[in-house]
Amino acid sequence: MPVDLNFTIAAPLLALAAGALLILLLDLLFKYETIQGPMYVAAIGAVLVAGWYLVPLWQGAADPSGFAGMLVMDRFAAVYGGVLLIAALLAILLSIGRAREDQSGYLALLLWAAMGMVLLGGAGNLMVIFLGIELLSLALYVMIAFAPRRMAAREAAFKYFILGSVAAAFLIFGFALIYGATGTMSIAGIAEAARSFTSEGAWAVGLYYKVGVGLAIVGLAFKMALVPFHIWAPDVYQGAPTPVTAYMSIGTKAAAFAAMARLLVAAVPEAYQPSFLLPLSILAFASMMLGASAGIWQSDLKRLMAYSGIANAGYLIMAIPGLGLDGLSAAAYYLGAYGFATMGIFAVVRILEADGVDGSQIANLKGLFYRQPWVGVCLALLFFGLAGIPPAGGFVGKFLLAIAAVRGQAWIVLAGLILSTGISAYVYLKVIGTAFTRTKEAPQPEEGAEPHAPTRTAAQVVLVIAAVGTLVMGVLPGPVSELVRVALAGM
Amino acid sequence: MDLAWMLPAIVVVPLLSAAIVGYFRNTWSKTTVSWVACGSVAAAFAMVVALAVQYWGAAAAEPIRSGLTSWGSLASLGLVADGLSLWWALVVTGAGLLIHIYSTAYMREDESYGRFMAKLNFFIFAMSLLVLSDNFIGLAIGWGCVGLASYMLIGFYFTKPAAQNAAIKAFVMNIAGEAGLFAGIAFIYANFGSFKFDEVFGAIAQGQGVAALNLIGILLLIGAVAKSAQLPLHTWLPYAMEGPTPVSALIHAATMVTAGVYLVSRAYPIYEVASGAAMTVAWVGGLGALFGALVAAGQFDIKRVLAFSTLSQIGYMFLANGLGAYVAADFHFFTHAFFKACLFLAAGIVVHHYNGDQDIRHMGGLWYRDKFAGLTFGAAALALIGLPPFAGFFSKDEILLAAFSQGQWALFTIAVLAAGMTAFYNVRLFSLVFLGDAYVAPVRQVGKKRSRKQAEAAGADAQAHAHAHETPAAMKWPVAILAVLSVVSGWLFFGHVQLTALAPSFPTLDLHAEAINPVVAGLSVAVALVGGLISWYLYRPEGARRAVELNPLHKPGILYNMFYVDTLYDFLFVRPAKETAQFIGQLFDPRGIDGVVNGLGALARELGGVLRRWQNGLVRSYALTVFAGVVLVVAYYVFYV
Amino acid sequence: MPAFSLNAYVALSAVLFALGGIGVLVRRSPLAMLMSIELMLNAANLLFVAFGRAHGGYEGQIMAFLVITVAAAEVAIGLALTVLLFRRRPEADVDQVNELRL
Repeated sequence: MPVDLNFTIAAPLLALAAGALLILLLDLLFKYETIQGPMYVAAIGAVLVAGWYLVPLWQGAADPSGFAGMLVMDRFAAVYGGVLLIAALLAILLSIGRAREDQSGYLALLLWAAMGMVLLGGAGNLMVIFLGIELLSLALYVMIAFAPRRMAAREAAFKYFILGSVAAAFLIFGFALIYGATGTMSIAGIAEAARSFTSEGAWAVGLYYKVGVGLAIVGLAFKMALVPFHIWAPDVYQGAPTPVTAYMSIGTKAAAFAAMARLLVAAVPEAYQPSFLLPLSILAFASMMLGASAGIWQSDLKRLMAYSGIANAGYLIMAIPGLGLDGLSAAAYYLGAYGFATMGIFAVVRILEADGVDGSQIANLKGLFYRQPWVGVCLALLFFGLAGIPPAGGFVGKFLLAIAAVRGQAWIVLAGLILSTGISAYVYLKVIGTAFTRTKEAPQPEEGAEPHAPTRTAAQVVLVIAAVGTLVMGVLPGPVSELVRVALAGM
Repeated sequence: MDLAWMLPAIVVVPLLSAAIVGYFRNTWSKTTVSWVACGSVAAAFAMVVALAVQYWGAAAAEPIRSGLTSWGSLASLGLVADGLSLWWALVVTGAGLLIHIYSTAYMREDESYGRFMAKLNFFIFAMSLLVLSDNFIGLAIGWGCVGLASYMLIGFYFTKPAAQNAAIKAFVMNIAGEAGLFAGIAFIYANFGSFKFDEVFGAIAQGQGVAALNLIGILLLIGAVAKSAQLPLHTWLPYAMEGPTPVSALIHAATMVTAGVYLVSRAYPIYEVASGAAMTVAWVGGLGALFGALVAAGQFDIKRVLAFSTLSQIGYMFLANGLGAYVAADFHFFTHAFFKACLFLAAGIVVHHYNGDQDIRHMGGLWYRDKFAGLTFGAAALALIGLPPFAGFFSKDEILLAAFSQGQWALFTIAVLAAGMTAFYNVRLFSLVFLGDAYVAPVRQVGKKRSRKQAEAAGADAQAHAHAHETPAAMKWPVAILAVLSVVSGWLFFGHVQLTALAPSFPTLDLHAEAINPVVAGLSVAVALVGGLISWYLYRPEGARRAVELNPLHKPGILYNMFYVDTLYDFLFVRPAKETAQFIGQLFDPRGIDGVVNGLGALARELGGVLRRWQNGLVRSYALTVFAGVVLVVAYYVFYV
Repeated sequence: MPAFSLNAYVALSAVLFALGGIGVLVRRSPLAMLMSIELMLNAANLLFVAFGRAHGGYEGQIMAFLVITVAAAEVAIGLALTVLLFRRRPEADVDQVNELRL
């Protein structure tokens, strides 16, 4: 068998890997104090180069498949890769000014995690899905613990590690069963085999296959944080350093969703998706309701965002039961809108942290509007995005998802969307209300913390990008949604 | 001349003004804020008038269209000026302008004056978007934005807990309604593949998707009912009166609460086919008309009387819509906007006299002190009662005629009874406020009365003492104009004017210039007179009932308590939820959760307790959750055929 | 070589997997939990090898090696995190770690 090396499609991944290695090399070769800036430049550069190589794939590569079908960097992969790279870029910007040690390791891990995520979008084989999941997970386990002297971060990393490993075990056990039932690990092969499971004209699948797909769903649902596999998310989001939380809240979700979509499109014939994927709809419904209502009791903004992320994972699943062009482009659009909103809110947390304040305490937001009017207005806009209120992008995203759900006759999740949107709007409006409450007292900086101007500037840049992105996706959704649709239509 | 560019301008100018005023609210002087805020609405009004002249002036009324933003191949959000949207936009911007002007005087002493005007501008933007959109998405966005504006303005006095609660109540009810609206729109898209009114209604005209129309009609109705405070989602409206009076006039009387009427009128091809949904609309409206009128007769807060009156009048509009008399509904909206706004603004003047006290038992004899308020209030009240030649007579008559000519005797009877009750509560209100002796506060009540003082009075207080209740010109003029419109807008626009104005929007309807039907008109006027006379007998200065109700020991009854609907909701939803939560809590922990938790928020605390035990921070317990989830998912697949 | 049916291998690996899962649930020592997770992964490996043998390709065997490699990396990180978290504690008991909750 000839070796099938298709470096055109692997180029984005290689760029990220090379960037990570370059950063480690810089750390070895130069003095630590002088190399901080260049390392960030290298990281951003690596992401931009990866994006550059993604553009031709977006337009549709001549041969999107390579490495014996292991890697399929088609337009679907390119669209999700684009979302993931934007998330990585903003996360790098948010990381500027973080505790000034082990910078190189942190950035390298971030790029490797990005590599794992992009890999998931382009997975053409169960092995690659497993590899992508582990690549991003292992990098994230370490990144979460990257907060010197914070026990909470270590605890978060440990919990995520234990539960994540268990979920990975479920995932590969499921893969093993699928492999056993179909005799192949390639997704295309699985698709073919799945459609041959018929008896008397109906789809009849064996026990191994059914349970295998069920366990694979569990493994990926864990990464997406769907109820009841969400249980790690609030603790981990709260404990992790803010830029890492921001990164994983979008990156992990988008990547796991992409892998899930790829796998389920292949594994379940379209006519049987609604009934076969019923558990997924129920998980999504439960996620929406819990994610929306648990926010009522939160006093920690990062925890609140974790619950919001849980609800949003549920919304994404709306695209799955009626998986088609509508669903996939709606999900990509929603991920973009959700990503901007989430990144922006974490940028606000970073802006507070830049002044030495514990930005994750919702109480510390009090009076934000009167101290920093633009930050307050942006915060309101971004929460509008999460709640799905115009003029923010989340509104359009939810609308597109709702349409996809109607087309796919997914009434359970549609009901969940409507109910949970109401509850979450209440929760988010309360947070906005806090930011707009007049107070004379500014929040007290934590002991030993000092204001750090570069952190603030970088976070403000991220906030502006996020707010503009949210606004554009909300007011002029046409160009963006067309871009996504056209890109996906070629599949 | 192509005036299409004006359409987006009508929407955008108030929005820009809202942003600018909001940003400069503390740096600019109040005068500058007033000019910019009122100027933007005046500009919008002028543009609407220009479009109206062009549209109705042309020989063949051709809708004027313009794009707004594109959603790619899914939908393009456009604006349209046709008869229906111009008719509504005229009222929205026109009444909006008058109320803006009124507010410049009414709210001037408030320290958050700029914030108020910015929000009011934002409302004009949202409402214009709602009525000018040529598709369901734009309508829904405007729908959401007016809800947001309403929420912000009800809670304007955010230091007042009652205002906060009222705002949240309105918000929750409206979210429920929006859920219905959005679901309805989703079904429309699923059935017709478009959001554009023209395309959807064109498809319906060709007989497509008929099976789903009843469901769609009901879902849209849920949205309309919540927004328009109709039964059974009406409970937020009386509390919404916690907002400043101009807000009550503009949003909770003249325009926003009538959005439901607009929705049904706009979506009339759906209701033409879906007869079941249409009859539901009619019955919701008819019952609401009677319910509102009954409850209004038992209220003691001047603004609450008017709020229930609004509920009742919008009920008439729904009734008309349900019977297919869309023109009558829109005509009634038109006259109602004037006389109800006039009533609210005049009530604002009245309340100013009493330093913000809104209790009509603390009023009386105001006629002898302020003839202007009495005259305008009286004229608008007569229009509301529907006596000829006041405006309400003409529009209400058309609605009654629709029920009469279709042989809907039950609805007709209800509507006529409601007309009698309308006269009853109006005479009661007028008599208690303007006639009889001035109220003298008992000494022991002084303290109570002080505590009653609304935040609204905080600014007005100082002014009131200084000017000895002189009403500023900026408040008088809008009220006077509205009062004149309350008198003349009925016969001026009755018949062919409103038919030709609105007819192009209802191309499939057989409209004929209707004349006053002597039987219907005579009956409704007679019933109104009877109701009014009974009320006069009971509530005239020496009336027996007046003495009873003014007695401080008087215990108000079922009408005052709004038929206990709120209590019922509490009993039906809030208490079971609390008890269920408690039960779940005990299931998880036999000792009960930290004893018995009472009072408001118990539900939240109970569920929070469940969440706390679940999200307990222990990694092994988390693993158990994950395993339980796995077992459930795998079990499904093991048993999946 | 005694001929077991494929189902027997599946049953064995399912039992091993369940044992690993129970180990995660009942053991309070982080190291024991790590070992239990290893057991779960290796149960999957057994399944891959058995199915690979049955289907006659190399894919199953390759995947087993891949899982072993990744598991090694995972254990390395897991041990590091365990040390980081429990270094200053008198005993390594995961039930003592619940600073983050609700």
